[in-house]
Amino acid sequence: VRLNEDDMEFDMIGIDAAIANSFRRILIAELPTMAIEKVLIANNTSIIQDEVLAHRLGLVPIRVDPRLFDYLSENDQPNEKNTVVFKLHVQCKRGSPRITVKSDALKWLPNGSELVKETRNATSDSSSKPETYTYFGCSQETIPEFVKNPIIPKYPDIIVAKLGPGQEIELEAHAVKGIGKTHAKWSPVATAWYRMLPEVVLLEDIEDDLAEELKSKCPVNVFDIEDLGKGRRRATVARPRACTLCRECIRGDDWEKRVALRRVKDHFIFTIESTGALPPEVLFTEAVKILEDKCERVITELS
Amino acid sequence: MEHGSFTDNSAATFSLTDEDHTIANAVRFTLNQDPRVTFCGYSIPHPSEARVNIRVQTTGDPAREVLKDACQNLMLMCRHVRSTFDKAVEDFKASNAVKAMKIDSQDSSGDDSEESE
Repeated sequence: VRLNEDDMEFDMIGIDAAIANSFRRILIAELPTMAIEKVLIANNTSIIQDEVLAHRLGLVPIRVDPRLFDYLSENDQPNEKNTVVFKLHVQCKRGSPRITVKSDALKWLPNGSELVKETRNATSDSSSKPETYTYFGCSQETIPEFVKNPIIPKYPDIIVAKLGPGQEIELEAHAVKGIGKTHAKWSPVATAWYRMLPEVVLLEDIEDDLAEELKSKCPVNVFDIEDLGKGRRRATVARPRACTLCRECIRGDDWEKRVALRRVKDHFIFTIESTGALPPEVLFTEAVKILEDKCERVITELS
Repeated sequence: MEHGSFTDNSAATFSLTDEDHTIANAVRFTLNQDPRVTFCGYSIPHPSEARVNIRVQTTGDPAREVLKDACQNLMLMCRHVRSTFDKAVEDFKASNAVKAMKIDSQDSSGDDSEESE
């Protein structure tokens, strides 16, 4: 029905509520995305506390395809296959007015972390490269998908912090892959919902004055008047899809006998609003794939 | 994990770890569609623990096979949904592209193109 870059609406007919709900649950909770997880703060003299700043950075949606990355588990080292590194360095000089730190200040570092780890022994390996917090084998810029599209936050105008004169924030943020179940920052949809198609049935013929009354009652103009000839008019249901089931048309004395409001049991109107990492039709396809994978896991466990 | 009796394998309870309503409800629905099944249901023993118990009772066939068939049916359904959806998205994009081209090449007082879906 409707498809933009960020949201879409479509109809599913002939499916059951259980499956539709499964799709909705998977879209919200089990589709992986990339989001900032670890924030290494070098300097924060702003009034925003470290943890609040880290929390806000985690919620910023990042425009990158999560299918190109792997999960990072406990004992893995962060390398170019599972981490995306961002840097944020903002300073408000003394004498200049207050500045607002927006999400476009996050710069992508395709070569990995720049912060140097402190090594215990002074006579460490003879390599001249200092050890950083990530172990990037090769620069992420060489991956073909990122050559033309650098990794940036999806919306550049998200306010992350505010700085007064003389305050500075310098930090490095590592984004990893995760699913919505562990934390909502990893949910790829702003939201996803479905509703069933409403069915408005006129139990008797409604004519003339009653028809006009019915048409004027509905706030979304579901009904229409059609002319039958000989001056008689009849009410018809023109746009059942727009009906919000407000029940305004069955208020009053006898209307309940004339209009029946129901839902069609197997016609679902899905709406998916994506946060921007992936386009919504891809999200739905991935969700269906994930349900298939779950089934397959159950099957292999059984046999 | 399956809990049943050793003599009668037409009724059994399957305990799945790391699952929740998402898959359990879908599997229960497909099990219900199977004519060999007399009873099927699922329960979650405690919401803090990610475990689901699915109970299947059949008319003689081993419960394990019936559950496997239900999962296969669910997978087929998913595949069908996916292919239908992909095709619908393609059709929609194609018809939108055509509409955009028509609007570009018409005057400002053009009439609407006909509704295809």
